[in-house]
Amino acid sequence: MAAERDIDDLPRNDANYTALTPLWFLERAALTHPARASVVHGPVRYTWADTYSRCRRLASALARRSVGHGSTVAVIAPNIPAIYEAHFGVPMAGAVVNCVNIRLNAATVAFLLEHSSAEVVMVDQEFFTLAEDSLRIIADKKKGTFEQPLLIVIGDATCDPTTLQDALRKGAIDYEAFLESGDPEFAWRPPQDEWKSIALGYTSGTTSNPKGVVLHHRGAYLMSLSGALIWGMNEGAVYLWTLPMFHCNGWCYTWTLAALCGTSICLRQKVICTTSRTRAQVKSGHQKRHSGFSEGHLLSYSQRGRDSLLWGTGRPEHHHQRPSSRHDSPPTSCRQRHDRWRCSATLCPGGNVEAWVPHHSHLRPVGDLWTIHGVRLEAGMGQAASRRARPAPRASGRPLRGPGGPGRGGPEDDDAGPGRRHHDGGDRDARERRHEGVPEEPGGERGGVRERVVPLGRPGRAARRRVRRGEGPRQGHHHLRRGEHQQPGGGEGGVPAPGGAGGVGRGPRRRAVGGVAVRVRDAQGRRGPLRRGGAGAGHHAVLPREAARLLGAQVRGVRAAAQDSDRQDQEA
Amino acid sequence: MGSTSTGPVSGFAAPERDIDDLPRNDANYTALTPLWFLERAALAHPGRASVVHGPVRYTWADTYRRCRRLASALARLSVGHGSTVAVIAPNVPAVYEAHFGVPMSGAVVNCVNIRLNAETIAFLLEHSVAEVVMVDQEFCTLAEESLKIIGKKKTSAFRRPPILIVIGDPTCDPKSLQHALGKGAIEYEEFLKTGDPEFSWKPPKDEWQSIALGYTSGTTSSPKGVVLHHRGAYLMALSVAIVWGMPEGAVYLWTLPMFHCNGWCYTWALAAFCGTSICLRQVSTKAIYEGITKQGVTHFCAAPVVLNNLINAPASETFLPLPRVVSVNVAGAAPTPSLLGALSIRGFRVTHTYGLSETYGPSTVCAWKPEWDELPLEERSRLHCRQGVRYIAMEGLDVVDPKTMAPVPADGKSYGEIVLRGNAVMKGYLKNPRANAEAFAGGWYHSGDLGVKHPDGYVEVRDRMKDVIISGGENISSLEVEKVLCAHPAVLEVSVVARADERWGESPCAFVTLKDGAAADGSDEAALANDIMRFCRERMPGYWVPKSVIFGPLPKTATGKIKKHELRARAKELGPVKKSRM
Repeated sequence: MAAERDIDDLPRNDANYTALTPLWFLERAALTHPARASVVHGPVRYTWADTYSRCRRLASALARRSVGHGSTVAVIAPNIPAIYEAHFGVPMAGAVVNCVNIRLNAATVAFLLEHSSAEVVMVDQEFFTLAEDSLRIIADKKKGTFEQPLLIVIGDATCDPTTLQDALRKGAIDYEAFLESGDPEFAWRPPQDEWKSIALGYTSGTTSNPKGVVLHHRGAYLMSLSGALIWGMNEGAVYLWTLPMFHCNGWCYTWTLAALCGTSICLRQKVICTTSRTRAQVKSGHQKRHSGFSEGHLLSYSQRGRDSLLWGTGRPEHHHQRPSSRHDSPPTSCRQRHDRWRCSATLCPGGNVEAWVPHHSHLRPVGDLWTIHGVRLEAGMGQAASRRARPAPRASGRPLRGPGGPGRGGPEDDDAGPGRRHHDGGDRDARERRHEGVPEEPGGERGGVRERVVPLGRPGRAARRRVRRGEGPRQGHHHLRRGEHQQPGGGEGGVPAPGGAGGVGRGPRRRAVGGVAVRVRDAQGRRGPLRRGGAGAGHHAVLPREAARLLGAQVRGVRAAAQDSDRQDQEA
Repeated sequence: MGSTSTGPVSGFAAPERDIDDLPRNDANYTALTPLWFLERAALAHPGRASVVHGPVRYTWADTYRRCRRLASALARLSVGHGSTVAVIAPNVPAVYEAHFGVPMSGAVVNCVNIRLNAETIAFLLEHSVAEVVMVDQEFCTLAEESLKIIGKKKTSAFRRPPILIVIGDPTCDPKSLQHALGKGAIEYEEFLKTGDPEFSWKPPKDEWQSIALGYTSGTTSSPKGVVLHHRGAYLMALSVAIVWGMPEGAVYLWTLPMFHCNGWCYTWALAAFCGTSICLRQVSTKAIYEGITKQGVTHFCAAPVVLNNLINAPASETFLPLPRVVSVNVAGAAPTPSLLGALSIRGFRVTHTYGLSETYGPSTVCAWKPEWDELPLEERSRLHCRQGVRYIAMEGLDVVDPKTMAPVPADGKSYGEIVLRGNAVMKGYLKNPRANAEAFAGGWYHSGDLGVKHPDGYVEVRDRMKDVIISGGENISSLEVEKVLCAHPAVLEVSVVARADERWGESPCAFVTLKDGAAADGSDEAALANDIMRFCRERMPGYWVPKSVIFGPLPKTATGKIKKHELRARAKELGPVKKSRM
């Protein structure tokens, strides 16, 4: 059609037209807030300057191997820093990032890798076997005409090193070593045309072969800003990665967080046992923190606020109830509480949690957080979980509030999405594998020990106060809290290890945990002075009315996010 | 509608390979335009207040209908693509509506500075070839005189005289409205009625199409027409909301004139996050405080002069403490440490931004870091006074040697010109190829401002290049001198320009407006001038101290910027400083 008339004929030029790409966000974050935490994973903590440097290394290392425009880099990994970095480093090389769903079987992954013509496969150590099997399937099928992709294995210090060593022995390149081969000041370029592809994802294939969804730079840029605005995410937001980054690139929050100079808190697994600090952190962060609790629920036992559980249910086995009904009638009978506690125990790394908290009867439910969806129950629990109507609470604890709370109709509403129900079969298999594997792997236990004290963001002042005031009957806890404040290097602090391995094994575990505790202490120590808000030219303490307004906005934001989650999740 | 192809910026490099050859289509490619925001606001929050002005209160559903009516009415007059609609009005709802209604018809909205004289407006209307002039009743005489001036010229570019639409305002004396109607102008509300409230507006086919036209204030030369594209308006609207932390539903007070760079794109941003505009015909400290206390205002922008008045207002006009933290976006000139300190104490959270008409308004922000909160006020203010880092929608910001375009060292001392690039840079100047060549030389937009780059990457404006004073071969930053003078307790505002000096070539000449309580009669002026000079001598190098101090009001532009070229002319009239005064 004919071009529309205009009042001028002024052209685009290098000064007034630039391709839209989220890569600009990373550069800006590194310039604006170089020292702010960008990605946190267990003891690993990167700043935005670090992340920019690492992503440029990744881009450079790929470019040196002729990976660039027209190339695809597949990533098979849970939510760890490397997959976040791939969202920038791979496009900076001009290539397309393809994040693969780690729950797929080898045959499906093989199809994807072949269809996408992945030239590089970055795989987390835990999934190396899956990648190996997939590549073997392709090689067998192609019989000699298949060119093996570059295989990079991502080590994770929180995991058993055996799998990593095995991968390295088989010729895979270690991810950190790969980065070392790149230039931290690589002169990356934005795409010439913002219509260029930035990411490739595959539909779940519930009704047919998976389809490859190609996303362009322009859309990634626009959705990153749009997502932040609609959800009310502010600069410096702290985001918890419960949503897998392989689902539609984390709904673009990977790129949003760079635009906002926010902080990503990675979670390797959806099942983590944590101490009260985690719970306090989540609660205290309700004004600034966001979480894609699309597949997760937060359960909490408020025995003096010591413990909390975070896990994801995967798929609902029962119809999803509206949050209000859960809130109105949480179950409180002793037997039910006991049963659920035992049930959750089977999903915790390390297996046996009972020895850690022997007095079940002291636990009290918190609001509507009893709901358990899609969790396989031990014999005799099926009836309890399937019951829709629950008795009125005898004593109701204060419900956890904030954008992540399921009672707020948060993103977990998408559990009821129609697309989800079709996944029950495959996911049940995955759950069974996880269920069977957990008690038998010593590595898992060690991982559990480390994960137990993973700091999920930094607690606000109020949260730290609560933690300090908390009283525990056990000497260990008391000692830990004292150590946190009085001994900066307090290696002897740290939470008690769960029983099981016997006396000999307890020492090393405690030391490892102590090391992590030091990290927690450092984070808290550094955070303290930054929080004191005197009369300043920049920011002020939020007045009560302002706080109330912000909370209201937060709730609205959460609801909007829930709606977005439903829609986007189905698309993903 | 076919897909719009946007080729590579650089036409020289070969196209890059891709993993696919999937094309744009109607489903996956839409021109970026802020007009989408209005449609969405009307759908998402139809019942929420969109624009409030005195007793007038519109919802987003109302505003969407009214804007479609406006677009429809214009279209019926054959106003559309290739047309310009001029708006001469203070911050009244009609100006807000013009930001959507005019582009919805395909035309370009040109908001005119109401403080200009008839002769300048005549130039603007002719240069822009405005086909329609929407004018607030209070400014009808001004518009009339402008059109008369154009009519007298034989070489007028107009094919026909522009259609005159007068905007009535019930808060004003109705005489001026009746007078305008008597002369044949169309009343705005009546004009809207001729339009269809469900007009099927269309987004531009090409987001590079022009959406708005504004003219530079002419502080340094004759006005230039700044042409803005739809793409940049969309991106900057999202960018300003995110950078400033404006949540959905924010309440914004229109202290900043919408005719200044389309209100720094907040006109469109407010629709993006479904906020509420509180209009002010005239800015006063009382109106600002009332907006905060009675209308729930959460955000407003202002030049330092407005904030100065806010801080120095009589107690009867202030309402302290504030009911909530109020965010203030300061731009137009560097706010002084004393001003920042005073604002913070009162509960205003100040964000310092820097921008130009040519960059859709705000382009850089002094991003606040939490660790600065612990610093003493002076240090905090020093950090805060810097212009900072680029906005999200701006992809490049640097300080370069004006001759070589080489970046200057980030040492906080090396001077260079501030340059920008990105999607929030204008298309160019209307009908001004020479100005465009200069403005875009080297692939960057040249701000004309001198600055330095600090080690942390923050940029700081030192001066406009034309404002450097060269005394005895040494450069004096007039901005630095002004900063010190503003700290004097009697000084409300000040502007320093070069005055010829028989001995030194040039020396600083300070034009000072005093605070109300410090008003001086003739006999005290000399003593006060001496006190000011002594104050300066204690705080700056001797050769920086102004050798002339002249009291009186300062000439200002729309944004409260001081018209330095007028002051330079005045300094020239004063003649050189005699040797005998040394």
